[in-house]
Amino acid sequence: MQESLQSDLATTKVITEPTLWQMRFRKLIPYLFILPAFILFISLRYVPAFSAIYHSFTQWNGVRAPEFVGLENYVRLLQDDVFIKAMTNMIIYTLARTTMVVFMAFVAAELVLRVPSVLMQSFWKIVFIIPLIVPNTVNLLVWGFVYNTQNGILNEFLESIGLASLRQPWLGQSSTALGAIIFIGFPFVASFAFLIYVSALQSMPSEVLDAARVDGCNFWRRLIYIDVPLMKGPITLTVILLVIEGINLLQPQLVLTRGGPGVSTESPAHFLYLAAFQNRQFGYASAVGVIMLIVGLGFSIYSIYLRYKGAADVNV
Amino acid sequence: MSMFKRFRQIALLEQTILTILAFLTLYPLFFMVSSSFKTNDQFITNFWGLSWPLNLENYIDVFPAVSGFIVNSIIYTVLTVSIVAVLALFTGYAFARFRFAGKEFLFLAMLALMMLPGVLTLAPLFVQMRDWGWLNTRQGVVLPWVATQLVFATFIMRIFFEKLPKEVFEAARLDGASELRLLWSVAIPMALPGLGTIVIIDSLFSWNNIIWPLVVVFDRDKLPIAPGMIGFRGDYYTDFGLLFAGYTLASLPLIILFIFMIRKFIKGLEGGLSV
Repeated sequence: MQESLQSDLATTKVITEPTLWQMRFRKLIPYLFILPAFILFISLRYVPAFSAIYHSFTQWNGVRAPEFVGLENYVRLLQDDVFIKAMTNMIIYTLARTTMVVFMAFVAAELVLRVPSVLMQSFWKIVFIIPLIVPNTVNLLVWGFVYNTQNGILNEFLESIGLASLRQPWLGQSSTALGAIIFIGFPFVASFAFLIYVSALQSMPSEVLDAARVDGCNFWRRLIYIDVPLMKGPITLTVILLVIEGINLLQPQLVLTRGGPGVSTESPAHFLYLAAFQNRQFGYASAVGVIMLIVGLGFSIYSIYLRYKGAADVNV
Repeated sequence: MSMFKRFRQIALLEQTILTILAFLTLYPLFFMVSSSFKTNDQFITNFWGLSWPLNLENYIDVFPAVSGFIVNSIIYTVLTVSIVAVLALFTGYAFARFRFAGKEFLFLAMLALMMLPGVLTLAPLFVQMRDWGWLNTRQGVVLPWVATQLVFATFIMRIFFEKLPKEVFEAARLDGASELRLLWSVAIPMALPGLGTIVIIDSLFSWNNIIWPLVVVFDRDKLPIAPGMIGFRGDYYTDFGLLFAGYTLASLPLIILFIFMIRKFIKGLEGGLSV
């Protein structure tokens, strides 16, 4: 009798114990699912980011032990004319580029959606998407050729319409180089902004548009009084993306100008790259990164503030 | 009648503006392709358009100089995209379908990474890769890319899984399916459109990123196409036909991907940024 009871207990034990263990395991499952991703986030993003913030207060060449110098890097940066020039260029580039891209992409999206046939609409969309498929480097190199002094497309064009006197080395002189970089990709239709506007305009309530059509609104009036207010969300989203892109401006410098001639096209990101990998001033470079982080964060917080004020409804 | 006429005039004006915009947008690319078929003589004598006969020799001559970069890029891109896709599936699924302590905190901690400027971590990450002996290696290029791309990919997958009807999962769970089984046979088939978006965004990123390989790779043989083409221009500076044939070759893989996935591509690009 006692023996059989004991064996009963033994069997129940055998049944319950794995269930308990299983329950514990079930609680662990989500953590196991996210573990590999978070190992990568921590080791390859968080650790180097905090390392950059810490080392921005040090003098460091990546080989010898860093030496703590307090705010010296930041003080030096604010007195560094090249860095000030880079920040100024970044602001000019971002303002000019954001304005033009938003305007051109919006007008083009409106025009495409006013094409009556759906097939033709798709055709135009594809036309304006093709340049997005070309690798950035190739796009930049081709635009570098547009600006070439010898045989450059722009100079040849000026000559062929009788304006040979305007020929100049667009990327090769300080007076025009930054402008040339800003105008890369002219007329700025082929962009993510265009895609965002097209999809947003397509999902706009058709009653509004019909009402406007019945009232005989012309293109520009409808654009300014109806579409732009309704499109506040998507427009804000693209402005945010374009500003962040502007703050991180680096590729035209890497591919075409190296920040030159002189320092006329220097950007903060390229300044950081040179400080780190040409001059081996990892501490100084990290301070640049921290300033870029602060500028970006400040801008993002401001736009989130705008969103919660109701000024911009971004559907994220 | 005059009203119709006015409409037609406006439509004509709109079409003209679109045509001009399209011409300006595409001409540099047309110039690249047409010049890639020219000898240097043809390039000088017929600058603007195509010149016959098409000269395919440029492509044969330039292929060895570009093919290595293309192969490298394909390897790096395929590795990055597949690791991102797999990890985003698991992570996005966990955030969408489980309740666990610290969930929203961890999710926000992940999203906060999007605020970091790409170049902030450049120097410390370089030192880290050196100390790990990962300079000049595939994992040295790919894993930092994965860590960068995974944030947005996980974000997309979470939103995607949250939109899927709960009943499907409940039914399968009642049938006694395990979590892995649920993910494999219920969630993944329904998640394919979301995965398509991730594939497109991450392929474009990996194909276009210049700065990280420039920092972490020393051997020119191991460079992917984006930084590789910078040196390529230096080598062929005066041979216009070869130069543009090289540019065109460098663009081909993404264009082929585009042709195969054209509908997804448009949807993916739209969806990826307006989710």
